[in-house]
Amino acid sequence: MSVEKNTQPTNPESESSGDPRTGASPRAGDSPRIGVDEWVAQADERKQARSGFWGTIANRWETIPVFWRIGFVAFILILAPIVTNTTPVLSLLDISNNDFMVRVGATFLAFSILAIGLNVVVGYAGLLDLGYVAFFGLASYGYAYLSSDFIGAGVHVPYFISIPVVVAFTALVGYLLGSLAIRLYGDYLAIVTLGFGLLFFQLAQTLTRVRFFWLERPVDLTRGPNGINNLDAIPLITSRIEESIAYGYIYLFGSTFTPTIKYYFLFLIMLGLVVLVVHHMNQSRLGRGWRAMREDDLAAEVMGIPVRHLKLMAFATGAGIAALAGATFAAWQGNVVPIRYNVLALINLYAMVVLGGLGSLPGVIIGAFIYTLLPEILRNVVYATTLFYVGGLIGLVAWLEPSKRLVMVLGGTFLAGLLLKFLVNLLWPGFDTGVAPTEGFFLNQWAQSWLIIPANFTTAGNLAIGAGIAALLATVSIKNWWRYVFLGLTIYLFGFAWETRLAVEPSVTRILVVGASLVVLMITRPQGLLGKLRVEIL
Amino acid sequence: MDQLPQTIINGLTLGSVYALIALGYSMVYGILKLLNFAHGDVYMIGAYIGYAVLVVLVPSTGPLLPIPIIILVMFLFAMVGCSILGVAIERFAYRPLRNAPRIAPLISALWVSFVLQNLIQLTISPRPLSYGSGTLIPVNSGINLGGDLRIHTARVLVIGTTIVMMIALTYFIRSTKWGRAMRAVAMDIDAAAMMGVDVNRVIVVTFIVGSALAGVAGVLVGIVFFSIQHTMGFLAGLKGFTASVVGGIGSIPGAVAGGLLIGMAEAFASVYISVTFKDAVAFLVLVIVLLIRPGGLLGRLLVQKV
Amino acid sequence: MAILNVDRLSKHFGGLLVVNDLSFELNEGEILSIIGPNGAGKTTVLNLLTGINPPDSGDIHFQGQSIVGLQPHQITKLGMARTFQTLRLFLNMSIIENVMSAAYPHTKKGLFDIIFRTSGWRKEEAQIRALAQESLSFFGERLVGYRFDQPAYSLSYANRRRLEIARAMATKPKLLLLDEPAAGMNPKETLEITELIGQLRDKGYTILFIEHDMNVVSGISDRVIALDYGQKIAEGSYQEVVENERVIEAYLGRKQSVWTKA
Repeated sequence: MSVEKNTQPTNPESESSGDPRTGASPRAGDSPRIGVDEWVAQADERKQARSGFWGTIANRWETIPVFWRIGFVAFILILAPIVTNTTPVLSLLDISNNDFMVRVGATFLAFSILAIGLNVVVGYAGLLDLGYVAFFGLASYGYAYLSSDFIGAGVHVPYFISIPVVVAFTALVGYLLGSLAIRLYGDYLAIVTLGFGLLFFQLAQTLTRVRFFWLERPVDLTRGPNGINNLDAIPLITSRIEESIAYGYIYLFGSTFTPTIKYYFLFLIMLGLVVLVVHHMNQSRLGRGWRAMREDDLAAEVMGIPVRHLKLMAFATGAGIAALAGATFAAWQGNVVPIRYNVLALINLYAMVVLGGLGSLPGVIIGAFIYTLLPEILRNVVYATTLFYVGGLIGLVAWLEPSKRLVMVLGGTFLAGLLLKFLVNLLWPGFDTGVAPTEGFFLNQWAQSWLIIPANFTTAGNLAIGAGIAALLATVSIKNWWRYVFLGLTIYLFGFAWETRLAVEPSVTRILVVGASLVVLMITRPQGLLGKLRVEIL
Repeated sequence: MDQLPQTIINGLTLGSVYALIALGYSMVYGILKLLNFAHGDVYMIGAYIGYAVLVVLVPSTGPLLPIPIIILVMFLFAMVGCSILGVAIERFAYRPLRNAPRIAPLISALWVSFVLQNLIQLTISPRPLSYGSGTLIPVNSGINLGGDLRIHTARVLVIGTTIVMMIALTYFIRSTKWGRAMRAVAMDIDAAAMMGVDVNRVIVVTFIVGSALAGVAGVLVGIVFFSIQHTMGFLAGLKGFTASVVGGIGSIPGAVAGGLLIGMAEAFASVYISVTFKDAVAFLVLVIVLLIRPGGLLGRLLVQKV
Repeated sequence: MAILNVDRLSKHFGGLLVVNDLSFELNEGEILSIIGPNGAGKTTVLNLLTGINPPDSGDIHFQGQSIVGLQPHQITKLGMARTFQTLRLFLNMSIIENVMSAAYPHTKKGLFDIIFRTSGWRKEEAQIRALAQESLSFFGERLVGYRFDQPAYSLSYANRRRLEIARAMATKPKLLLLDEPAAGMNPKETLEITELIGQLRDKGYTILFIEHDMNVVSGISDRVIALDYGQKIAEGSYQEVVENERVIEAYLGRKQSVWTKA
């Protein structure tokens, strides 16, 4: 049909502006023109356009065709395990176990797959599923039932049957869960799914004495908190093609590679397949339907989109992907433990997705990377301390902005600390031992010489944590200049707490740092690294 | 059958505790539309504060003050301490995220919960602490209700305290300026702001009230069940949260109703079915109720206006 | 031939009777408008027709088939589409995606084709895109070209209304239900909307619209129905309805005709 001519009176600017019909853009160098359609329309993009160092890199990156971008990333991922296993790299990172990096890498890949699955449910379809880890766990237990010596004398179903069966089963469970939860919106959905996730965890820990009425004695379904061991590994060892065809083994690169590396590549291949499948699903009417549903599910339904059906599809797909990761992960680790599927695991997973950006496929992979690597880095006192102090410093600078205030606060706190130490040593000699349990490196030593560290540093450290939080509260609540005094106090207390207690207990600290970084990130950049800012009308 | 009366009493006791916790959840959700997952750990900290007071006021030589006074002091300190904690949580973990996607405060809440648990585990003790089984309330004291039935004083205390708190809260919500402000903000936060209500202050007050109630619940649990541990907040918080949802989240009478329901269900399940499943029962009740009445028992599901 | 047959439709919300024993017919190719004061139940009628709320009693026949009890997406698939009084666009999606997503009901390719990107799938995607482009080009220059990939929230109000109509058109309907299409528009835009509705009819759609602006109603309707408190109080040509005493009373409460033929 013919294109209708614009019925508006001729726009005098249309001669010099871009021509909507051909899509030509305004001439470069033209001064800003109010009201010119296309220029105005692109205002949002310009505002979000990236500048500065990272911006330039990001912009250059986008000019490379997609195929080469993926190729580049794939290339790095394939070479990574081989490179990181070499001695120079290992000594640089101060790691003795040469399997370690690959193991971290394989974990990262497995969690990437999980994150992608979660992204489908939460990012694409907008369904807040807080019980997602349960699918991961369910599949792992399913694999444990089928491919180990758990049931009776041992049902050792080969992996190429057990894994697909487990995936299908879990997808079905996802479908059923979805159909139950489908009537619920937003927060209620979150609550019920969280309930299911917790129920699963509880049951996994407690279903050790289940009475079936046709059996005489109670059955142990899950082996409780210790989990099930001795799961069949996926045979990847063989290096001969004939064996691979005859026995269904996967032939991978010969036997010079440790099993860990082979699992790494297995996960890498899985990741590639999952990415491809999910991407295709997203760029089709299915993905459009999901997005429409996420925006406004009533309007979507009225536009002919079968919302209920699509919600179930999202649940089932997410569950299936989680199952794939779960069964393979269980096979790799050789065991199933409930603690892997608790709330903390869920938080970690969500952190990956939120950090990377909801709805962005490369984003969640990056998120998974950071959140698998970060806890490992934080194991090392040196890195952790650096992160703590440098992070704190950055926070201070960001808040106070380079100014006289900043200098005064930092300088004042430093001097006050020295003064305090002087007074204490003068009046109560011997109180300050100057030695804290944290060995660390020079930063730790500097801090320790500056702080007053009594003999019973444990109790003092505990108190410092509480007092530090209170001081921080005071800092943000008080509006006049006293707040800077409290800020200095907060700095002192947190430094003290770090040197005496926090640096010594890496497990707690890791959770703290990971969570704090996540909170800070969500405040400053709520759409995550690669997500897009969404306009929401409530 | 002979266990029935005792089970009912246990149910009421548990239910009262859950109701107190549920109230905090309901109030915060009503105002902020936020599920405050860290609430259970505020309750846990209340129990520990009570313990600290107990240790100071009841050394091995005997109580330094009359027992009822000691209990009151424990309540007071727990209420104050937990209020401060609640305010801090709101200030640091929720307020900065008000404009972030809905997920952000949820994750933040889960994380705060974990931090609190681990901090207590780290700084005080990973092992359970005991209020002492006979220290506060003699084991034999109680009220006789005829026949074999007697309610232990501690349980009377719990149920009684809860009733008092309910009345105080109802009065607060119905008749005071703050209560009205809370109701206004819960109904329409923007309109309330435009009518001159200081929304931030109201939110802080809500957290204070909710956290104070949770603190009292923590002390009560210590008195009745003696043993406290850093993990207690997680389960109890979850059940309290379940209770508030079951009763209709955002509804104060609903929180109480839900708490009693869950408490009863748990008591009956642990006696008549199996102790192992008592924790799972709460979630089962949740799922069943939400399937039948998606808005909770007394709540109203938001109707979308087309 | 009657494309839509509404028979004694009634609906309560709580204790309030919102639609009261409403019956009317709509013939193919007709433009019918529903008028009435605020709260008269007009949007509710649309909700009942599209299956968003189930009626308490009465029947609705669309193209000879009873549609009571069907899900909204099923009704849309049968050929009924609507726009919303308060715009409900997919704001974060691009303009062309908004329209393409509405092409869902008549698409067929399933998971297998999607995952493996078969040639059948590619063909269908191209068809969907062509359909979307056609729907959008109906509105002239405003929503085409570089505009396709702009997010919907960047559109002006009038363009958003047009996009909603374009989106509804992508469902390949026979009957278009427009809920206050001219709301919030200035006189020039109102005139455009009126002409637009006429053009839609020329394209073959049957149209039922709700309006308050009498310029639109008088400009293009074949027939008018007036509602008050959920009941039909008048039916006929614009002139007949506008001079009906009950209608005047419902709007103005006085015995004086204010509206003249535009």
